[in-house]
Amino acid sequence: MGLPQGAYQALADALGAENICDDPAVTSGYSYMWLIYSTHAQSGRYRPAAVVLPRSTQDVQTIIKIANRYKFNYIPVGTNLLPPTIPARADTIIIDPKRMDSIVEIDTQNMYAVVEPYVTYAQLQAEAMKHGLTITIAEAGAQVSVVANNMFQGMGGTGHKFGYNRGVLGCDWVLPNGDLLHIGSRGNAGADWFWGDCAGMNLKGLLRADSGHCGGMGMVTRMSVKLFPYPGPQTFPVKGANPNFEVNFPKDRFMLNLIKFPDRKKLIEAIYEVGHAEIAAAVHEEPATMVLSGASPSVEYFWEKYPDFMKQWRNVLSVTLIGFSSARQVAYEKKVLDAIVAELGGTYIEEGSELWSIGQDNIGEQIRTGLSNRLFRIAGDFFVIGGFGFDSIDQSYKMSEDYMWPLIEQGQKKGHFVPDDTHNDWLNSYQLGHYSETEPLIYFEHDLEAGASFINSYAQTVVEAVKRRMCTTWPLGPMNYISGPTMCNYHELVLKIKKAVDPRLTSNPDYPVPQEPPKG
Amino acid sequence: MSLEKYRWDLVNCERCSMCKWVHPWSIKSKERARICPSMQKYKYDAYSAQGRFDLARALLEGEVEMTDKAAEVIYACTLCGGCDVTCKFTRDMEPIEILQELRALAVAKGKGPLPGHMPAVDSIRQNNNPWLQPRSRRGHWARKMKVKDLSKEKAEVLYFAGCTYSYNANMQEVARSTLGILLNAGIDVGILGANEACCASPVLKVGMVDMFREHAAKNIELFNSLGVKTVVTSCAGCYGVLRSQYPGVGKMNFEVKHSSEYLAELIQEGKLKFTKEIPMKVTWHDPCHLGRGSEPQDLWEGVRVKWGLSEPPRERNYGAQGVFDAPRNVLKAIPGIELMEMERIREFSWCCGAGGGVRSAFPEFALETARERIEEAESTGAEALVTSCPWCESNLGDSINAIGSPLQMLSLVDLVNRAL
Amino acid sequence: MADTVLAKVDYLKPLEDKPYDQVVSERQQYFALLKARLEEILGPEHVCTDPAALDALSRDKSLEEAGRPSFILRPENLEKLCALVKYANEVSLPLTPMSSGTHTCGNALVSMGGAAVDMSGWQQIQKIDHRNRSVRLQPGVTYGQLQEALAKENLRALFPLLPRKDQSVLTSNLEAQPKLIPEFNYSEPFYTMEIVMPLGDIFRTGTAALGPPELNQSDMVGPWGPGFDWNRLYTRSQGTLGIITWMNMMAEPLPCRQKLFFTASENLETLVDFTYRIQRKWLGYECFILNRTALALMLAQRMPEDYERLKKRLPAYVQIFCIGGLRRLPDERIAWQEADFLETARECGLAPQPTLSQAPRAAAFFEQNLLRCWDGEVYWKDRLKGASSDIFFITTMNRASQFVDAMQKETIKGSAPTNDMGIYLQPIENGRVCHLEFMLPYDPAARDDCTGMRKLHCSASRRMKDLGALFTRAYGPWAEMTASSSAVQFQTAKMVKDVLDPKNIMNPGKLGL
Repeated sequence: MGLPQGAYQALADALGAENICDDPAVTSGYSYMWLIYSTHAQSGRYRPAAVVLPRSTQDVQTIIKIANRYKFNYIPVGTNLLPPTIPARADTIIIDPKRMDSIVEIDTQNMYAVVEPYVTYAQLQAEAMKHGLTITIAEAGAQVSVVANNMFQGMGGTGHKFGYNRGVLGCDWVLPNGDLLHIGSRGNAGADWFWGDCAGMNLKGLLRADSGHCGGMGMVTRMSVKLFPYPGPQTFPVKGANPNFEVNFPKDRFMLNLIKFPDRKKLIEAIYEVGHAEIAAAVHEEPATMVLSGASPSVEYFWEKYPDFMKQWRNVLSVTLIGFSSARQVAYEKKVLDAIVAELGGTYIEEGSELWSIGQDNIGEQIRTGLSNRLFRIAGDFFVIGGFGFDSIDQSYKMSEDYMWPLIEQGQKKGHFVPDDTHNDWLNSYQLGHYSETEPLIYFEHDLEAGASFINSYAQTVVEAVKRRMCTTWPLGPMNYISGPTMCNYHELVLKIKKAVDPRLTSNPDYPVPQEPPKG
Repeated sequence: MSLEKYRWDLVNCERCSMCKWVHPWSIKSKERARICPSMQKYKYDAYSAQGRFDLARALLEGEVEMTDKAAEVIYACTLCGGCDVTCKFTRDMEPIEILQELRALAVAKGKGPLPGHMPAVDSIRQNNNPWLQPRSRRGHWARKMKVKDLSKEKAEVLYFAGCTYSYNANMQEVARSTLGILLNAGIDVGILGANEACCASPVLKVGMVDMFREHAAKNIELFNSLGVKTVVTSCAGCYGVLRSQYPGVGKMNFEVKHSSEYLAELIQEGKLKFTKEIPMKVTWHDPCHLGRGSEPQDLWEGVRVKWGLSEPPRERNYGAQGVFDAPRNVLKAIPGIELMEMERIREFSWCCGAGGGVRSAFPEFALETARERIEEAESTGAEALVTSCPWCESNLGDSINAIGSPLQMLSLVDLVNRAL
Repeated sequence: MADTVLAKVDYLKPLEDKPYDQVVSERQQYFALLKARLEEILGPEHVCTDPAALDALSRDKSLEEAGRPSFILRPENLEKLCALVKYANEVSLPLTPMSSGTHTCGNALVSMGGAAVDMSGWQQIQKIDHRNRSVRLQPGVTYGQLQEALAKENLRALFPLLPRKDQSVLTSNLEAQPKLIPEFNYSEPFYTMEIVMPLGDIFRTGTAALGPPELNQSDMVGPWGPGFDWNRLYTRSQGTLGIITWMNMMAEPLPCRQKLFFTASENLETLVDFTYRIQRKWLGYECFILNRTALALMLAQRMPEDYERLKKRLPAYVQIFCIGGLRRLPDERIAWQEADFLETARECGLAPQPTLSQAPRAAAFFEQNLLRCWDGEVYWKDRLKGASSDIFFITTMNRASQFVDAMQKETIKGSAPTNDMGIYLQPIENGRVCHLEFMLPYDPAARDDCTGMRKLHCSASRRMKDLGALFTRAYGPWAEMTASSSAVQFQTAKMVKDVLDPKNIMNPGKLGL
């Protein structure tokens, strides 16, 4: 089933025939995502009815108005990484922003950049670095869309210093009813980009929560994002050749510390102490699988090294110090870190050691994510059991130990997940340790049983969290019906507001919350 | 071979999109961040490795049919291998092999090659060259040179001119200069003249695998029969296919070198000395088939087992072991030359736009891709764009003319010759 | 005279064709009914209809029109508050929540009749969590009270500039009042909140949604969600979307040492440039710029003589900058930051000093007052004429001078004494933007002065807006001014309001809604 009669022509008339395509040879390119495949156990059914390539905000408004008029659905995407952007209904088009790829402006003095949806983090950061500025880059990778990622996730990198989920300033947001909503200073007399707040209630609050709405709330066509000071070289300092690159930041201003703690509790204490001392720019617990995959040029390399590496790389905290002001800052922060490490019985992994050589690119990863997609290398697929839930560092630890790892172990026993007995997560500190997020990583093959095991375990984390009244993981789509009833029925409010701005439910209809609870 | 061999790759692509970009750590600017010309031109994901994986999987599953549009999606790609480099940084997959396999499938289904490819294919079949030229004139470029004809006599080195340098009057000088330099350096070198045959790269690129293998086998047999130690070519296209594909066709009792490698060796050995200064800023364009595309492919036959491990384990070519340093070393050795590097170089080089049958079937796409490279070259401040591939020279040269760029398009050997 | 007519929503058959005295009588009956029911819900002692008290709440320190409530309601606890809100929905009774404090912007004035819900009695600091640097507090908690409690835990609140003694911390944060420390990326310094929604349900934001504090097993410091970013949505909503009963907000480590620097200049742009540079280096804690008027108002011990004397002697602008040492290696922390700070100052041709030679008291004053409320009887802004009409907005620092020039022209046009205009520039988030505030003194007792100031306030605000000032707080005339410039924003806000508050009982009339 394709688009309603007349809809294709209306879109073609509005955008130009070359900017819409419904040929299966083209739409297949937007149809496949293994997680969706594993859930629905068949593919092909979910090819989009068409793909459109808008050039401007006006084009996007037109598309959305046509969708409302002809009653078909649309999914706006960025760089299109995640499962919810794959259509799950036949009469759905994809709004692909590849022609909206400008960095509209970089205000170097006031530290912001204005981007369109098909600008990636790597592109933006490359330009920002020329002016001594940077941006926190999500662990999804520097190849993802700045706009989409800011609306969706954004964990990782230098969030310890720069914060998380506070990076969006002014926006142009085409609502699902086709109206253009200006966020923050965009609604001002000069239509400025510099700030994200406006008078009265802050509608930026509808843009996302701890994670995003997966295209269920219209499309942001331009976004101003915060940039942050960066005291490093103007070009990302990389050496080597594919597949072995090394980063090489000036050591007096950028210092990576990889610290082993006797147990995970001590590591948690260290994150608290680092936060209270207000030092460091990036602080992450780094699990063995993640670090080794980052250093692995092939799956074979990973598995050759992994059994031994897993024994050695345990409870390792990565702390990157950045001298924003001068080398003096790094020297001071190192002294403070030394004291914390000594108090908590930690030991630095020595520079030059084998472990160091495997983990050393962590500093590059924190500044410009380039290794994270190697996580797919380990077994074909990976995700997190849990993750995207934000509360204290203690809570991250407790979530992980109380209900995430037991679920992982169940999956491991069944042979679905890659063995890992470290109980180490990718656990992150944000805003100097004011809050945190943890991601226990699991790796599995594209096997329907393993996929089901993953999906069920993930959903179970939400069940376990609300049962215990602990922080939940990201309740994706229908999972909101698990968490909602115990969390002030927020899902009902979300749905009501979605319906208010999207009365025909045309914008990725099942997100953020589907209209009906899942059956069974 | 069939797509089935790559099923693991196809179902495991998680659309991370690394195939669309230069590796993030090597991105130096917003404008020079892309790696895939096809993506740049056609915008839809279908025109990336990720999208073509999806198409291949859908074809394999019978979800879509091989239509004219599918063939267009498959062929509107320069097979530059940029996606192969960046995908492999992250994943254990074989984009370039899959893209070639898709073309083979298009041929098998009667949808390929495209009409635009046919004159060259037919010409190779009939004339042993893609340029619709008679076989008998193949050796004319060297008729005024005193050089061994290896059909009749023996030598250590075969200079393999390739079709374009043999027939294209504007480019024959490259072959003559290279051969002249080798001769002057005292190298025991000869040519095959009218008996030289097309390397068959063009037919491989358009998916005619059987025809390619037939031609390649004949060439290998011929080269082996000559008893040469080394085959030297100035053509990056020939070089790429000789290095990466011929070993899969038959045993080769000779080594293959690109002229830039050979020249660099001669310079290093002191057999080639420059006497003139050329005060010029130049930038080097890495031809795809000289650079990332010239690594020998592992002729792996096996299966993917638990966790996606290859059984037996396979070696992978990451694109970084191609010929990158040799031409740069040659340029740096020429007095007065200042080498200005572009942002996308070596394994991340931006394609000239001519490869994979694109120049004949999608000329506009070819020119647009070249234009981007010209702009990148201009931004370095260089006066000349230097390379060593007839396809690149031709396509980039056309683009220079089309946009009125002040850049000079030069072949590496031109500069060497001028400085001697 | 009959009681103040209740809001548009609680007129009883107002247009019926019946004698006026009958209408009045019915209204009085209705009022009595309402009162009785409210007393039943809240307890008689928590329903106030004392005319003097109602009058007192009908005005605030702003120049806004008076708005007299019909009741002042003081719910004792959450349960009663919920019952009140549910009842208010039944009878369409408008509710205007107010926290503690002196209201200065008109936001707590009752715009469309109904009841004021006085939350000033909710004064508990419910929990200080040193480990997670958070503090949970009710709406009536003031800065003085909070800081005293936090100091015992070696923590501090992010302070605004010399707040009033009765300033509600919760409101200050909800209204996003700027804080003195621009170092942090904390334009929203709260984690979670409990809200009584317009329909009377309890909603909690972030991880607080998992249950009331006594049951919740999280640390309630996860600020996002659930579903939407409610914290952000509720920021500056002025009670139009519900009544907030507690807020869990960030606290920061209390420095054990600090070192102040004063950098003077006759030129604002010079100091702005310097501020950009040190903020880009992420140096120091408190950092702000005052003009001589604002500084004199703070430092003068006797008015007006000290004020006049100081104004003659003080430099045009002073940047006040503070470095703090924390528990670990405090002196070394101060030392490296001082070295970098002074180095930067030298690059700018500036010479920061430990105090102001023209006002030696400055060092001690700010040393003591960066974490304190104004403790004088008359608030510092009001010291000159009894009141100050403030115009403040967000802009970028590089445009500050342009606004200052334009403002000076406006004051001249409005015949206000330009020399007495206070200026406060507060960098936000490493100087990404700044809060720029102009303080225009006037005599609240002089009718002409009030009228003139109201006019000046309007015209100058409009001028600032036309120049690109971003008014982020929809107070008084600013509400209309900002709503009119973004119709879709307004319309969408109305849509949200209609979903959450279908009877429009929560502070109706505010934000133009």
